[in-house]
Amino acid sequence: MMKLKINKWSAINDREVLLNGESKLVFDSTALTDQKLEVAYRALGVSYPKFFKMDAQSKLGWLSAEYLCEGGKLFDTSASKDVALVLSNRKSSLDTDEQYQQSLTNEEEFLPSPAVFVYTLANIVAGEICIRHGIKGENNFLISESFDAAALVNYVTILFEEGLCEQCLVGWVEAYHGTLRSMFASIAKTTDEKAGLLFNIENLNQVYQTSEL
Amino acid sequence: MQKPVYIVNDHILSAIGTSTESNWENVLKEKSGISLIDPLFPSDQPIYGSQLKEYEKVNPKATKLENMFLYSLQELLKKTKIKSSNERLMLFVSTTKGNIDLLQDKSSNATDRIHLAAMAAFIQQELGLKHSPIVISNACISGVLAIQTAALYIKHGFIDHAIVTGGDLFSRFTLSGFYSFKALSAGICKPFDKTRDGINLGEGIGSVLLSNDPAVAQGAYAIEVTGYGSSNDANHISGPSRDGSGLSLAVQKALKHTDVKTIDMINAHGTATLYNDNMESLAFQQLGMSDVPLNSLKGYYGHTLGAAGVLEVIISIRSMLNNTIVKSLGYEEPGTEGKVNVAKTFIKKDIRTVLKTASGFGGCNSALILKKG
Repeated sequence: MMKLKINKWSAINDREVLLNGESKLVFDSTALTDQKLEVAYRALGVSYPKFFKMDAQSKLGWLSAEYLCEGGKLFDTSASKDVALVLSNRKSSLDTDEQYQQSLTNEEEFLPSPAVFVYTLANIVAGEICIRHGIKGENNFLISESFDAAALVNYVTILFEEGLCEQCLVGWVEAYHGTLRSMFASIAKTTDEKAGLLFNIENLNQVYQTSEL
Repeated sequence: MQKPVYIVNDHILSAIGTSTESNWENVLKEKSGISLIDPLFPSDQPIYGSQLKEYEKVNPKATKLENMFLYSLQELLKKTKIKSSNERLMLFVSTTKGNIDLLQDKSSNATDRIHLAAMAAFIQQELGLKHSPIVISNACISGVLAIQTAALYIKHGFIDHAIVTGGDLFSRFTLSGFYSFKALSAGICKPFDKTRDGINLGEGIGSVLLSNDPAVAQGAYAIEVTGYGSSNDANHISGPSRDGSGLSLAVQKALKHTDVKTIDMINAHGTATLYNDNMESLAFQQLGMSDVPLNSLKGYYGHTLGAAGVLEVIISIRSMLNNTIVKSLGYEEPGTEGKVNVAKTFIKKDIRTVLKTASGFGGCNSALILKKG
């Protein structure tokens, strides 16, 4: 019987960056969201100029994936087509939607920005992560009223059982009005039930709650 | 023991009809829902799109999009023995922007339903469905992906029946965005044609009922969903991959249990942008499908975003039931790097197996295989 385990998890909230429950970076409590995201980026010591073109939610998701792989590779890229990315949140892309809507209010200077518009879809953050890590497998973005571990565990487990993926990155990512909240977990098959944290609804909920403020 | 999953009934609400039957009749008459519309913003080009006209507004508390969803879902439920209160039934909602018009309309008393899950919960409650719906928002592949997700939920025994409904509005928000990308056609779109110059946006709802037991569901038909897969190009967030390799990956997964030689028809995404259609042509060529009759339905409906995948699956099912490949409206001359066999006329042919694909922003692709028993 195939079992799945949570290999590692990362989380970012308004206070800190966590990796497997351990604090990796604590934000200055007076810093603004953009500053926090930039501090987290600088602390990684990597160069990825595209980061600065992203909206807050994509930056947040990108950082969460980056912290998860600790500067290494998230997955063996030769297997990139077998890596799934299943994300979720409540607000979809509402933070950027509101910003884009603002740009439509002035009829005299009607200049909607394609660079902003492109981020008005929930799954753009997934696209940014796929580009960074060469992930070419299954994609799905689920919207729920709150963190829905059951929906995520059920769907990801199905993907493994169907042979639609060999590894998976699953999580929650939401940046809205200056509040940051993400939790990403990398999921893989295991034959040793005792090794690590099993990927089930209870454990995924536990991880999500652990990473709460 | 995993049971096969079938699509057993459907409903379409669009600019060319308030039932699947009227939609199919109008498609056969080559009637397009796309027309010149009043500009929603200062524009240096005429704007064409596909907007809903008449349909019965079900609920005074509902927003425009919610009324559209409710209308379509009630019409679908009328056609099945399965009660909305069935414990083994679940709703899957596909949408890219949901009630996006609420961002502009601050006077609405439904402002919380700008949240897609709140909108879906409202629909669930109005219909008296037992379970919280699953909401999928994955750009232009949402509809196809929602059918995949629902089919997998049934196959793996979480539920026995599913309603998948996809919908989006023709909105100033989305229209201006595609305008800013210079992606809008100056006329009615021409998928895969040499002179194609961009997309038209459209609005509508497509709803399907899936079940592992067509008899219980009192299905109008039983079209099996036998293959599925999605992928990411890992290349660019707003443009398709140049070579079609991402879409090929999704199709290859969908073809796991199907010989590519048995595909009778492809219903492509075919948005009529230069890059999308070219990318698709290269993918189908790579896959050895250059001779398979192919169409895009965007010339009839425009791009209906979250509705597109579901709505286009429904028309493809009509094609299978009537053994008629729908003419790819707007296509005259080949104009893609990859060789594809675009349907220039309606083609009578026994259609047993169909490939449906979609691709979207964020580099995502998806594919489904539908089979007639």
